[in-house]
Amino acid sequence: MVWGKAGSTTLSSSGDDLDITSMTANDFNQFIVHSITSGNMKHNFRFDDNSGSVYARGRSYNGAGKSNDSSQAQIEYHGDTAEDRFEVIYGVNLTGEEKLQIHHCITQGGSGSGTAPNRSLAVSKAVITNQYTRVDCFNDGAGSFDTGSNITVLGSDMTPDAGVTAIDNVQDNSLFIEKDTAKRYWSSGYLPANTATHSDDFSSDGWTDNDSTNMGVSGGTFNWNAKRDGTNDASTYDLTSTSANWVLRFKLKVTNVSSSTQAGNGFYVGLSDKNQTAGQSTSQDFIGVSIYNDNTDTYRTIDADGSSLPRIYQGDSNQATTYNTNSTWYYEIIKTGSSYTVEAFSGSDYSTGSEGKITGSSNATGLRYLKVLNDMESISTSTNPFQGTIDDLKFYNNVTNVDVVPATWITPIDLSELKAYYTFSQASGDITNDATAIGSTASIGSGADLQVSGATYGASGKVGNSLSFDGTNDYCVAGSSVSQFNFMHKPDFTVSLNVWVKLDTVSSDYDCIFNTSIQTTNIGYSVARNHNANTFWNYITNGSSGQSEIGNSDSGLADVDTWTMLTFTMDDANNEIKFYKNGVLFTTATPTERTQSTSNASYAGRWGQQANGSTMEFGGEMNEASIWNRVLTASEIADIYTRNSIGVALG
Amino acid sequence: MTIYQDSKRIVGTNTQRVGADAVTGGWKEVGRTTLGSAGDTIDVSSLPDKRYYMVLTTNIASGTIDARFRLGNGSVDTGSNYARRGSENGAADGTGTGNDSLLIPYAENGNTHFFGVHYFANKSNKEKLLVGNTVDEYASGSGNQPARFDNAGKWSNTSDVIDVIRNYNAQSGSFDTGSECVVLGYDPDDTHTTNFWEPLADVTLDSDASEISSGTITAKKYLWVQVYFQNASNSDDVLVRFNNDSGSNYAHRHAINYGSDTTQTSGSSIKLIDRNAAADIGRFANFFAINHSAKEKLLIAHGTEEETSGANNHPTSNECVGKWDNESSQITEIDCFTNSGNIRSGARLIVWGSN
Repeated sequence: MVWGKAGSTTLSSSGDDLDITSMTANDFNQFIVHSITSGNMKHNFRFDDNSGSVYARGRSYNGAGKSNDSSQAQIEYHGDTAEDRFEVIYGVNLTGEEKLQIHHCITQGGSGSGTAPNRSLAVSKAVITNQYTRVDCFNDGAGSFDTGSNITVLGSDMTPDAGVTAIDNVQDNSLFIEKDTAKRYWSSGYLPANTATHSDDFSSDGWTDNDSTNMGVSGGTFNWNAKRDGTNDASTYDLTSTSANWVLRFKLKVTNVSSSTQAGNGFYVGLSDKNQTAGQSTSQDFIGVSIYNDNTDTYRTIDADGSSLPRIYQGDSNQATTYNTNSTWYYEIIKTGSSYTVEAFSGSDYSTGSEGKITGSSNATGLRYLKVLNDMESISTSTNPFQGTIDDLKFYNNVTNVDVVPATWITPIDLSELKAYYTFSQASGDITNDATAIGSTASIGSGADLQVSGATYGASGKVGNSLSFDGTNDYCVAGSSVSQFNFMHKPDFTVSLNVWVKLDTVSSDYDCIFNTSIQTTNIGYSVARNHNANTFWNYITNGSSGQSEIGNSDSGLADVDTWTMLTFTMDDANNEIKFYKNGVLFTTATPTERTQSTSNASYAGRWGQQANGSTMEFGGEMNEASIWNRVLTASEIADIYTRNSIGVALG
Repeated sequence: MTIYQDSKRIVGTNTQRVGADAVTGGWKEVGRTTLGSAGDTIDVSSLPDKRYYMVLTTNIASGTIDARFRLGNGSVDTGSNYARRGSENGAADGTGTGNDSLLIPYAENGNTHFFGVHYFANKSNKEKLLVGNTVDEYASGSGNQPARFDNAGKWSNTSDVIDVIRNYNAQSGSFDTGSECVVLGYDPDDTHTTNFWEPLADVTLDSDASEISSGTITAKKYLWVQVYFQNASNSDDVLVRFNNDSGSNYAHRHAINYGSDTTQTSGSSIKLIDRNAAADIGRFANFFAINHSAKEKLLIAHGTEEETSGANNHPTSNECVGKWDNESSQITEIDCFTNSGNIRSGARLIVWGSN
């Protein structure tokens, strides 16, 4: 249990809503709100977006007596004024109890030190039962919260206080009994997670400095002051040794740079075979990055093989970027043999907001010191330095990536109401309905076996082999029965269709995946790709009143030449259709029509071609298809995706 | 090493199976200065840029002191760039404009000590805003109630972030050895896992009881406590006591609903919430304490209660400072109770601390 961030929002543009829409529930909270005025504004609070008359508060303004409001639709206690506000709130958030808060707030008053600030103290409550997981700070004044306004909620019950590494040494086909969820999982191979060989949050100082004034650990960060002063300002941390392959990650924050900053100020971060006494002009082996402030800010690959370091703007390759005060970048250096890459990201996940990957080549050896050093070239001393911090540094030895891939666990799938299951993996003959074979008691049986026409067996599939359709006249059809798929269009239908597809090209026609009808004049169900915009239809028809067609506005549901799992669920009770791509909900839609029919479908179920056999051929491959007479949940769909992704079939 | 049962069977938790990242982003210590000898200035410099600071000050007076804040970037700003508002002992607000510093409290009696908890909002292009509280020992012994200060202030700088905080004395005396300023930082993009506040106790009552106690906790210089409970019957004040000391060693100053202060000296506990409440009414208190073994323990507390359940009844406010007159031991147990009746099961007390 530890105090930690339960949620935080910083406005990237002005607005009236400073909300944390999803945060971890905790019994005790501390709220910190810094709202920046753009015209008159108020601080109003709600929890869980509840706008009922469930709030009450008492307030003192500038030391005056208490004023009270009760049965309010929000907690409101700041007037409609154009003042920046800073508020700290303590709250209790226990299930089943009224939620109590204690507020401390300062408002700016007029700008400048000639005007005293204003202060408010308040207590409030929200009469709601459940623990809140959302907090809304909103303005209903004439102005708005300006860009940069922030709300943060810390929680007292955050766990774990230390990271827990996923189990990564599991034997294949092990059974995991998860005692806190009463679920069971099977493992089917795994990729071990990489863990950092050395992590440094700079809460303590293990570095050795040559000039701690300009380079060194202080105040919980590594602080760099990049100015050219003709001296060596290096700092090092001794890893004692490294392998041929490694990854270095760190967070860099600029705290001081301006138009008057000396052009060309910069510094290096990387690994060296020499400690802090070896500055930029000293021979050494080194691989790293230079951070270079100039008219065009850049970072560069920098290396040396037993020579002095090149100057900060002379690396093998460079990437333009931007260093402003408060800029934060996350750098990743990956060394693989004699090659290395440098990449900067705006996101702390080291995958989002890439500024660009650059490459270098070096035969440097003996790299053992993490090293930060200035460009110490002895030109005129810079009076306006380039300054900032390094934090959250992690070094991974003997790896070529830091992808954390925990053991893959396979969740048993509930096969209830599984009507048909086609692997498309057969080498010849019919594509059999294997629902019964894998344990379903609701299978529509062998009458739904697929007779193949033209399609090619034995293509490499996502799971085993797949069936390949040429996009011209290939298809397969579920016998001759027109009634066995009636559950897909009958009144009170609930249906899910799941299939892996690999499209050959974006054709000029519709690509039918599965259907028992053709548009408005028939009765049945259909899923097809719309050639117009690489989108999907999913509809039922009743033969007279038209079709319910959903999804024409959603692009990108399937990619060409890439295996993609598509899942379509139709839920009559909730009047809702959902599309999932690769196990993740892509869009939810309300059917425009959903007039069902009790009559038989117009055609037998057909894959890869319009049900009447005339057109709309599918070009590509299909694998692992299943049809259910129930709505699969998001969790179930994700579980199917997980197991199929590692080559494990549904059954 | 994975533990197998029956060859390929593993029993564990969801967290063990999928792993979990450590919690990130609480208050982290980013700077601290402790006086090794008496002086007038406590500078905490080279602060990393954080959106918010939480500043803990302990000023031990040698003679009469007047503790203030000055702020700066690179150097401390001594210009007339500060404005403030505050209340001493619940009196009408005093204000100051065009000041050269931010007044925290004024130690009217020499040779005491006081403790402050303040928060700063720190955005480079915006005025820096401060809000917080201070408790002053006022005069030694439980026969003297402490003084309290509600503080708000601003530094009008709109071009820099704060990277130095100066806690300094503007009176004839000085800050004595051991006076300290600790700066904690929080930034929305923080990913650290090193929180200043360490969990010391987490207690939930599983049946009605006369008190909720932390049990024995590790002694820490700074304490942060939150407690929530309901009374099992109509009852009176919410009280706190340390180390099972029921002697007349406590004093406090208290205001309810932002009214005038009332005081107690030589009491057997400190009053966090002053109210006659019906049964099953929720009460919540939050307090900080400075926990020097050789100094009186000083407390800054705020509390509220439902008053009467439902949104048609506004909650009550309680502001309190208190002290425990013990100059030989640190707090190692915290007991919350009422002066009549039991506390309902489900009550929760959590204690955080740090040196």
